[in-house]
Amino acid sequence: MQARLKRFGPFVALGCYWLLLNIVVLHLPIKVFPSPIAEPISKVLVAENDSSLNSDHSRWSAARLPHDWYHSDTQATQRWYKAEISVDPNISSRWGIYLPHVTHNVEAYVNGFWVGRGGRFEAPVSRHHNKPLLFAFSSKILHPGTNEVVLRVAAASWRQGLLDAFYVAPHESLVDAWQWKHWLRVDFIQWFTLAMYTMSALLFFFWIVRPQDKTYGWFALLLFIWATHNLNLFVSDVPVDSKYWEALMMSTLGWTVVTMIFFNHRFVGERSPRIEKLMLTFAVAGIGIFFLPSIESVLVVGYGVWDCFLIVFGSYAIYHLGRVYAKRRDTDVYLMLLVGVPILVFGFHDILTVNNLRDRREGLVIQYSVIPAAILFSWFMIRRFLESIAQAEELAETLEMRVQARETELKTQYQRLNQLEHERTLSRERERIMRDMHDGLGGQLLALRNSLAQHDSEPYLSLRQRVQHSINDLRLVIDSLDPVLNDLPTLLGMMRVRFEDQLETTGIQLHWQLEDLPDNLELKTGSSLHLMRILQELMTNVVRHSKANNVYFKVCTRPNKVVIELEDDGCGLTRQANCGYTGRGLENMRYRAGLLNAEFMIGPGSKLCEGDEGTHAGTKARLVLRFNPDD
Amino acid sequence: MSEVIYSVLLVEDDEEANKRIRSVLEAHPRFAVLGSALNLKVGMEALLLLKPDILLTDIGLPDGSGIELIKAIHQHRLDTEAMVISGFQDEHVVFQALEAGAKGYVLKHDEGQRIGDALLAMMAGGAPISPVIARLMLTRFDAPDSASKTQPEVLTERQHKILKLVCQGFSSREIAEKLSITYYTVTTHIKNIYQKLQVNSRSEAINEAYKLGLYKES
Repeated sequence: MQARLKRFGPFVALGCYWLLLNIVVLHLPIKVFPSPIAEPISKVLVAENDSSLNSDHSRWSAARLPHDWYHSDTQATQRWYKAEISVDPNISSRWGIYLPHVTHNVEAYVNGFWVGRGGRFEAPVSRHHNKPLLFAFSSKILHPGTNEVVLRVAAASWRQGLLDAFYVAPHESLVDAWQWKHWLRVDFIQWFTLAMYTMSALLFFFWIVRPQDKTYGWFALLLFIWATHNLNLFVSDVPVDSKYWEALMMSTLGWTVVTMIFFNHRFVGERSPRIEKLMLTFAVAGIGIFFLPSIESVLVVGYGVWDCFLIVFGSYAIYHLGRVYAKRRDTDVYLMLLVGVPILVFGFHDILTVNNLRDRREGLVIQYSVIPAAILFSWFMIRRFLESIAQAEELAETLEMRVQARETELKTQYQRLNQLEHERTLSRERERIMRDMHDGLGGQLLALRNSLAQHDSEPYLSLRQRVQHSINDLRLVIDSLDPVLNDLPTLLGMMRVRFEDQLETTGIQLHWQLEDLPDNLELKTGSSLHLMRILQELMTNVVRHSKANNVYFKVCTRPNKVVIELEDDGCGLTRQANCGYTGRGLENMRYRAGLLNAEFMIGPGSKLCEGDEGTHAGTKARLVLRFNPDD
Repeated sequence: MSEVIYSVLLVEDDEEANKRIRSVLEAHPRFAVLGSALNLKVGMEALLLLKPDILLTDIGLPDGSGIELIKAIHQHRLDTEAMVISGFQDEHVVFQALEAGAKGYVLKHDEGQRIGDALLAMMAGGAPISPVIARLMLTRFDAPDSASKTQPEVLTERQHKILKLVCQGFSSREIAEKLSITYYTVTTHIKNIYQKLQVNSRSEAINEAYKLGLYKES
C-alpha cells in the first residue's frame, strides 16, 4: 500500500492540483478587482463610425454595457457612446471618468468638453485592452442635475472592440480602484517583464561563459521571447501596424512554448529529436501568420488554430515532464510540473477568452502563471551556474592539491636522487679507495699472507694471523663505507660472514639467534664502522682470550630499541684479563658505543658454572641501540 | 665412475693473477683450461669459438667490462656458466655480474682450493649469496617500477622472506629450519630469484633500448 502511495501519490496530488486550478481559474467567480463606490453606467446610446463629436448621430440606438462588438451586426472599428448622468457637482471639485475595461482606445467628453483620451485614434490605434483608464476633470463643467457623457471608442478590429460599464464620480472615489487594477495589470507586469529581460541578459552572459551548456542559451531565449510577448499587456502605442503587432504577439507566444520544450528537454537531459523537429517546423510555419491579408484573418487563424496547437504542445510539455518524473523521481522535475500546470490552465483560460468563449472583461491571465515558472527556472539556472563554478573551483583545488602533491613527490624524488647521487659518489669513492687499497696495501697484504702460508713454523703462523687480521680490518673499513650496510640486519648478516671466517679454525661454534627484525632499522651514516668495530672487537676477544666452545649472538627488538648480545661460555672476564686482555679494548668499545648513543654493558655470562654454584661462566656483552622512528 | 671434467675459459687482465689462477685450475683434476685472455676482445672471440663449460672472467678489463662476456653467453645461447673474478671483495660489482647472468664469484687472491670449490659448487647447481647481495636484490625488486612493464618479475612472499633472512646472516640450512621447508627448496628459491633478477635486468635493458630507439620489435 505504502509502495503504491509512493508510486502514484505525487501524480494524484498533481491531478488534484490541476483540478483545483481549473476550478479556481475557469469556474469560480472570483472578483480580483474591487469596484469603486459609485453606480456603474451601463445604459447608453451607441452610434457607429462617426469620427466627430459634432457629426449627426441620427442613428443612435440604445445599448447596455458591457458592449462587445464581436456580437454586433456590423463590423465597425469605432463607436460613439452617450449617457446621461445626474450628479451634484458641489460634492467635489475634482471629478473623474473611470473605464475599467475598454478595447482598444477611448476619448471622453462631458457636456461637450473634452476630458481625456487613451491615445492615438489613427492606425495603429492605441491599445488599452489590458489597462484601466481614469480621466480627471473639474466640477465646473458639470451642471446640477442631468449631464451628458460621450465616449469615443476605437478598436484595431471589430472583433476586439469592447466597452465595459464605466463610472463618473468624484475623483477620490475612483482612484483606489483604478490604482489597484493598474498596478496589478500594468505596473507589476511591467516590472516583471523588465526583470525577465534582465535575467535573460544574465543567462545569455552565462551561456557566453559556458557555451558548452546550451541550457543557458535556450532559457535566455525563452525569457526574451516571453518578455517580448508581455509587451502586449502594457505598450499602448505600438510602432507597427496592428496586424503585424497581433501576428508578433501570437508568434512570440508560440515560440515561447517551443523554446520551453527545447529547454525542458535539455534541462532534464532527455531529448526527443523527432518532437523538436516537429516543434521547429511548427514555429517556422507560424511566421506565415505575418503574411495573412488582414488583421481579422490574423485573429481568426491565430486564436482559432495557432492557439489550439499551443495547448497541444503545452500538454506535451507536461506529459514529458511527468514521464521523466515517473522514471527518475527527481524533485526538480516535480517542481517544474507544479509550475507548468498553471501555465497550461491559465493559457487555456486566455484562449477561451480571446475566442469569446469567456467574458472578455476578465482579461488575459497567462502572464501571472509565468511568474513562478520564470522564478523557478531562473533559480535552477543560477544554481546550475553556481554549481558549475563550485565544481570548477573544486577541480581547481583538486588540481592544486595534485600539483602540490606532485611537487612534494618531485621534491622527495629530487632528495632521493641527491641521496642516490651521494651514495653513488660514495660508492665510487669507496671503489677507488678499495682499488687503491687492493692494488697497494691490500694486494701486498694478500701476497704476504699467501707467501707466509708456505711456512708452517710458529713465527710465520703468528705473522700470517696478524696479516690476516690486517686484511680483515682493511675490509671492515672499506665495508663501512658501503651505504647498504647502513641497514642494520644486513650489517649483522655481513658480520656473521666475518665471524664464520674468523672462527673457521678455532673450533668455536657460533650460534646465530636473531629475532625477525623490522625493515626500518637504518643506521646513521658513519655509525656502521663503530658498530662493526665493537662487534669485531668482542668476537676477537672471544677468539683470543675466552677459551670458549660456543658463542651466542642474539639480537632482539624492544620499543625503539635493538638489543645485541654476544655471550660465550669461556673463562669469563676476570680470567680473560689474566690471559692478556686489557681494559683498553673495553674503553675503546665504550667510547664507540657513546658515539652510537648506545648503552654498552659487559659482565659475567648468564649460565652458571658446572660444579661451582653461584658462579657464572663466560662473558656477556650487551649493546642497546636506540632507533627513533621519526628519524 | 669417472668424474666430469669441465672446460674453462679464463679472462683476467692482471697477468700475475691470470697465471696463478690458470696454474691452479690446470693442477685441478676436474678442470681443463681451454684458453686464457687478457682483454675483452680476445676473451669474446675465445668464448664464441671455444664454447667452454665455464667462463671465469674479471669485470674490469682494459677494453671493456667482463659483463659483456656474460651477456654474450645469453645472446648466443651458449651452454656456458659464468663466474666472475672480483679483486677485493666487492658485492656491488658481483651484483651487476649476477644481473647479467653470472652464477657466482671468486676472489682474485683466494687460495687455489677455494677457487676450485667455488667452481664445482656452481656446476653442481649452487647459488652463492651473501647478505649484501640479498639486500641489493630486495632493493632492486622493491624499486617503484618493479611492478611495471619494465620489471615483469616480482618476488613471491616466500622468496622475499628468504632474502630477508639471508640479509640477517642466516644460512640456507637455518632458513629451511625456520620456514619448515627443505634445504633444497631454499636453494631452488634462491636460483629462481637469480633468474627473475636476470629477466628483469634484460627487460629493463630492452625497455631502455626502446626508449633510445635502439631496439625494434621484429
